[in-house]
Amino acid sequence: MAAMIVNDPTDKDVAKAVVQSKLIHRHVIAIDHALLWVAALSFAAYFHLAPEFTRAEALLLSTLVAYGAYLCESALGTLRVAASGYAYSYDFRRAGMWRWIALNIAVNAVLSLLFLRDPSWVWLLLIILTAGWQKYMDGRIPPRLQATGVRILNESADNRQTS
Amino acid sequence: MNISPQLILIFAIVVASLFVAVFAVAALVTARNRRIISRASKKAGSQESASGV
Repeated sequence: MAAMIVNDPTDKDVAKAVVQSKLIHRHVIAIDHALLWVAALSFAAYFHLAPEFTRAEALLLSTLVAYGAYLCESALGTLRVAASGYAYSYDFRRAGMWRWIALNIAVNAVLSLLFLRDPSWVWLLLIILTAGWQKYMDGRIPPRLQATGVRILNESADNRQTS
Repeated sequence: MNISPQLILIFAIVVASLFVAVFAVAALVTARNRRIISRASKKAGSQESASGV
């Protein structure tokens, strides 16, 4: 596939790229979002129904499934900005808050181990708040990315491709 | 509830795999398309500067 990347793209290549980006932004990401939550809720149901997990373990695992889905939503949100903003160049490295997300995952991992050791409501509440922190960052990523946007495809070329 | 937990687990794994596959393809296609558009805009920019615009 790397060999198929054109070194000198034609107008037809750009038009095809624009159409594909719009399809991904308008439909594919929404479908993927649905798949994500169907999978997450199914896993959560499994953890509660399976007899091999204790109540505390099932509660923790289903909470972590929701947390994992929030992380995947951050990835989907970034992909949405990349697909919809095909006419712009973004600084994904600077604006993606990746180090904060890594810290969030580390904090949640420690809290989960503490909860497994001592199933107290305090640890569970902290896990839930950490998931809330991740959701906040999830909401911050698209506007941060868009703030780094530099237009690379001029409007007349964009309209020509999509007409 | 009579539903088998294993059945739900299999369903969850299948749907999760589908999610990962769709995401991976969408991400690869988006990255490729962004590279194409970026190269085209650089080419258009160099042609404009060569013609003195």
